[in-house]
Amino acid sequence: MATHDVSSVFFSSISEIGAKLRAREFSAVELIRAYCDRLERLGPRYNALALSLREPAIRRAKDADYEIKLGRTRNPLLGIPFGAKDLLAVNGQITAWGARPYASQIFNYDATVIEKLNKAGAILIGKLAMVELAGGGGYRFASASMSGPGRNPWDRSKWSGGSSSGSAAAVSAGLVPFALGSETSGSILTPAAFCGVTGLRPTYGLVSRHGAMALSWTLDKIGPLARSAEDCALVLQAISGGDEEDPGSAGKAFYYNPKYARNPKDLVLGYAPVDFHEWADPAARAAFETALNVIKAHGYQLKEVEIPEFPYGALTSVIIAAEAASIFEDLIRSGKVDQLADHRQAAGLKAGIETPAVEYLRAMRVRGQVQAAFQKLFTEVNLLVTPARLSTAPNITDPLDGSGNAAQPARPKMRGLNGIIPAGNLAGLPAISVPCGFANNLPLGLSFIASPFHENQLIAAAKLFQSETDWHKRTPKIEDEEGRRA
Amino acid sequence: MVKFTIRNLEILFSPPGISYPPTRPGPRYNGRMPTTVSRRRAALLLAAPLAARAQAPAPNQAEGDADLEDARQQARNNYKAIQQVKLPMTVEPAVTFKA
Repeated sequence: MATHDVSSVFFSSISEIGAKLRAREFSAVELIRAYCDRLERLGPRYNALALSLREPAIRRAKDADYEIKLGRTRNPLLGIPFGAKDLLAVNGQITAWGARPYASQIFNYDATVIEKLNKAGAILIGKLAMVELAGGGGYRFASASMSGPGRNPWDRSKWSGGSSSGSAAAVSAGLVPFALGSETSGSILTPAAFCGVTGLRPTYGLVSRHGAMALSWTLDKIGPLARSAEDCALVLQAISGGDEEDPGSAGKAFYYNPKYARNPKDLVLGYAPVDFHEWADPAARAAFETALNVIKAHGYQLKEVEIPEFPYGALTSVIIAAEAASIFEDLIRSGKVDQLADHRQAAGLKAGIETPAVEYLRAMRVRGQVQAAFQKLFTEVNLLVTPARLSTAPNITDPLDGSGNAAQPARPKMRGLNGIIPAGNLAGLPAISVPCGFANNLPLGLSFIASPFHENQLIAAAKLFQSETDWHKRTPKIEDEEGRRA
Repeated sequence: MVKFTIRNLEILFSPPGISYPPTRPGPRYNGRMPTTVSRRRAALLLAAPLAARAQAPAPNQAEGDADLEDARQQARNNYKAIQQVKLPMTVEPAVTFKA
């Protein structure tokens, strides 16, 4: 068979790649080989690759080619390569959770999401790097990973975000068309915003976590990072659904239904001007303002809102500390926790094991009130919109706990939606981050948040925004070790 | 199986749980000469030095204690912040036991 040039699709959407596969412009084997070459060659430049899975991927690509030959091409993910955060079990392969104490860990089964994507015909080509143990102990530096600090494809001296660092960087650099990440409190939305890709955090319980490293049973979610809201929808459709193996499963599935998207004029969009004008970093305000104006022009009924007042950061910290300490009790008590790369994270896990039961239960009781407050808020609005992160990616050497900041800027008087990342996670809300502009040559993200199980509404809003902007189509300048454009 | 040659880094960096010399059929391992390995094993070997490089120097006892004390103090601050929220006795934790 003649070899076809696949390089033109590295930054294409799932639908575009799928159409070329079905038109047999290239075979799935050619596609997978090209992506594997690229992932193996460029992944280490961004500390994004944990483990290449070239050989099993090529075997699966041959199966996909056979399906295409037979005309069985109804699944949009057939033959599409993807990467998975290294906290997801893949049968017979190393799953290190980004952490040295687990460097040789192998499971003999696939995580449910991997199994579902296999069934959909998608092809796993690599495990992607992550912050060790998804950062559960609270890390101080971006180097808190067995793979080294996640480097941002837009500027390698900047952080790619965490904890799904490799997943976001790999999509951003065109090393995979989509990737799976996970979020306990910000681990999808943050790297998506920093790397200029679209990231979707599903409603708690919509996607099975069976086979995923647990960090917090009551907060963990798995979701896609991709090139567009529509791509995220296609992936979410494949991975959602009930699973008896996951006690947190809601027993619900997501069906992507763009035809029935509601008219923006029938929806109330909540936002807080203070987020855009005062909370956002001064360098980012102009871009956020422009993005907000694009959204306003869609005709939504706009309503100024403020987040209910709760100590969201403290709540997530206490809940994660207690649950993670229970999950990693053996690691902590054995002393192997000291093998972690980030000493602050090791200390955080050790401190977590001392959490009094009454403090954890108090946090979980307040969490019920948080949930009720958001249920009330979502009787007044259909969606919320706010900057996903208030500034661009920090330097990879900057302390992430703020300990290096000489002076903190004055806090705005109004709360706005500041704190929506921990708040949304506490309440189990779905959210999506979409690229919305640049500041200092680095991408910014805007996030939409909806009430539980309203992912279609969320995706429709993000898709509408992406239909009128091209921020999600911008790509970083990718160079290999020798400085050649890749 | 695709095979290629790499330098034998395993002498310096053996990932936990990986034994050497390799047990798979192949050229005899002599501890110095280049050997042939599968891509999977190569990935393991290449990950090990990265892991080693990612390790910051071990903290001395005083630094470790200071980090732990910081983490404990942060936890106490969190408890205090949460204690400010008024909770009626009827509010149950946001976890449910199903019989």
